[in-house]
Amino acid sequence: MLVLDNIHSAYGKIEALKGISLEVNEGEIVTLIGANGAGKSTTLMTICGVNRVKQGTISFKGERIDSLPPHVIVRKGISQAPEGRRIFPRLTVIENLEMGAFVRTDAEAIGKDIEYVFGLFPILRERRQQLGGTLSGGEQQMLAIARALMARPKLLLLDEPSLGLAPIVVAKIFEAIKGLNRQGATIFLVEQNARMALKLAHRGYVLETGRITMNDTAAALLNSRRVQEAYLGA
Amino acid sequence: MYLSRLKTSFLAAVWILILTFPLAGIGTRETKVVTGEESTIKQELVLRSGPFLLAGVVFACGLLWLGVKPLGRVIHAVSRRARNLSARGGFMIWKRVVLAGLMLAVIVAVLSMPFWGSERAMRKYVDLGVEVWLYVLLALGLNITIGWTGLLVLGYVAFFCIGAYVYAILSIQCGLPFWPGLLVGGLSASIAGILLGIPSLRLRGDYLAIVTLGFGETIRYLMQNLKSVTGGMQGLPNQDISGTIAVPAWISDGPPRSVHYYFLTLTLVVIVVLLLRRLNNSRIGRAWVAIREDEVAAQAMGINTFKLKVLAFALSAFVAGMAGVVFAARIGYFTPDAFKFETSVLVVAMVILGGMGSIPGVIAGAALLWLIPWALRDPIPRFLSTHFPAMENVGIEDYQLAIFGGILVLMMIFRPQGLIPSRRASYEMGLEEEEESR
Ligand SMILES: Nc1ncnc2c1ncn2[C@@H]1O[C@H](COP(=O)(O)OP(=O)(O)OP(=O)(O)O)[C@@H](O)[C@H]1O
Ligand SMILES: [Mg+2]
Repeated sequence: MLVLDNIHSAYGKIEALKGISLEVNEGEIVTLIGANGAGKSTTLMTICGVNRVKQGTISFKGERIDSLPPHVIVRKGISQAPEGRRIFPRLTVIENLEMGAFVRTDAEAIGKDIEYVFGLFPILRERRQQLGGTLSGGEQQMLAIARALMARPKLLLLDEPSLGLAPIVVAKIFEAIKGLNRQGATIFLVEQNARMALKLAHRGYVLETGRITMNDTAAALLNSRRVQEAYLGA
Repeated sequence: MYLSRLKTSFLAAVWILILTFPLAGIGTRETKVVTGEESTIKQELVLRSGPFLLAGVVFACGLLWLGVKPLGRVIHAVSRRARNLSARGGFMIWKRVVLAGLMLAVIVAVLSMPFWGSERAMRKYVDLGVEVWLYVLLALGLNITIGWTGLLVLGYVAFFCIGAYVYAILSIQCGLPFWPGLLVGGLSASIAGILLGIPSLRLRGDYLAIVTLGFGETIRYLMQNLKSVTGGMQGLPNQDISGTIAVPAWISDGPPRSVHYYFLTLTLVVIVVLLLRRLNNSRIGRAWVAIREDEVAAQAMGINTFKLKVLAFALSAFVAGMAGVVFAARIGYFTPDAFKFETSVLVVAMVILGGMGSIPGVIAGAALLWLIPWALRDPIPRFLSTHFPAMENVGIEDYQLAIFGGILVLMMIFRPQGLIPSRRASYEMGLEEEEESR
């Protein structure tokens, strides 16, 4: 469904991605793990078109998307819950969700989808008229995921959904991700919390300073010595 | 809390004193000394009381605010009680009635103002009213970029200038009538906005501010130097260029010219407000807010941020261009000096102090920031000199600007979110408490 081939991307002279190739198939949960500064967020931003591709190709459902602007890529069916939530602090919960559905015009279905994400995260229903910036960190993360869902993406990109959250909230969010996937959503998950991510995902990639160094099924990565030593603290 | 307020007002007062004292604190008094045959003029330095008075006023305002805040608490508490008591929300209805009454009073006052006295007597005030409405238009236009989209535009007067010149020139040279001129002026400013926006909107905050500032000055110099078309510093129209700037057909005949302009500008304000309100609740308005809040996230939502920013620029320039056309038609003669950088800054201040993003706030800000300097220039000194001759040596006129600046600073200290903040502005300013009781 999504194929990255030898992608290079840079911030000025600093090369953040040095030729990475990876693949996400329809119906999968694929995770990308790696240390701070490895280039995980950069990978997602590059897929979305916010960061420019310097070299290499990205294709989505057989179609090249690497030179398209972000607003077109969203319309093709890729949406992201970016790192650090980045919800709109001065829009209410409902308005944030409506922003998520910006590319859609089917008002009725949007209303239904809002009900659907409220079903996933009931706390958001209670807070519907509250300004996004006044939500707790966990609530904001739920809102960020819900907002990304509102675009009805074919591929959902999640950047560290567990960041800074209590274990119980993380469990809840991972439960929701699993549920989404069961209903057919394809998910590309970036995580620091490698253990949880690998338990959830079907396959995984390990990113080290801009290069993919390992690539296997999630179960194999969980059992690999290298991954255990570097990312699972064993 | 109260102590810190006290401290803030005290510091503000001291600060005002420091600022104004060197400018206006020391004056000279000339006395004629007659000794025998010859008389000499002796100059002596005198201390003027003005700065101290001003600092006192600042301090008093600060203290007053101290009094107002707890009072506000009491009112809130009482109102909450009242709301709880009347289960059907009787209090809310009262609040509505009072608000509606106030609105009605303002509307009646605004509509009837030109007829309060004879045309002769009222003329001055009607002209003042026209100026206020023109600035309200400018502030409303600039609010689109600064308040809604979060783009700091510092050379806004350039669009006003373009509207005025395009209309004046076409009217003189080709006899363009007023109404199509209004459109042409707006569109030209809009096109200039788009041309400026396309390269510069890729820049971020501070850079955009600098580029637009430069644009504002460039346009003014351009008008100065294109002597053959604009008359340069001699202004438009001048001896070399025959013809006059056309005024709207229904205005040119009959004496009450300024009343006509009053209603013309008022109508434009009403139309612009109605359109902006629609826009604010539309997809576009929402997208602008999203861009202001977080541009990358807005992109990730599928918003074409570049296109929408250019659109904000174009619309905002259109409003200023229209205002420029009215300005040119009304004044009949002007030079590039009418479009100085100070005007841009003043309009920015109107938007910020009125309440960024809030339409009523921006209107109030524009009206107030135009009326305060006027009051300091005209009625207040007149009132003081007739009723308090002793105040003569205070020399209020000398530091209108200082007082004006002081008022601006005070407004910023005590009401950082603006006079009438938009619902969204309150979040960062820590006003959720007031928010929920609204
Ligand atoms: N806007 C930027 N300008 C310059 N360098 C950047 C920028 N954003 C990221 N980088 C650099 O690119 C590299 C990769 O950053 P990235 O944010 O992709 O890391 P990450 O894997 O997501 O890390 P983390 O787990 O800490 O979020 C880092 O060295 C970072 O310093
Ligand atoms: Mg990251």
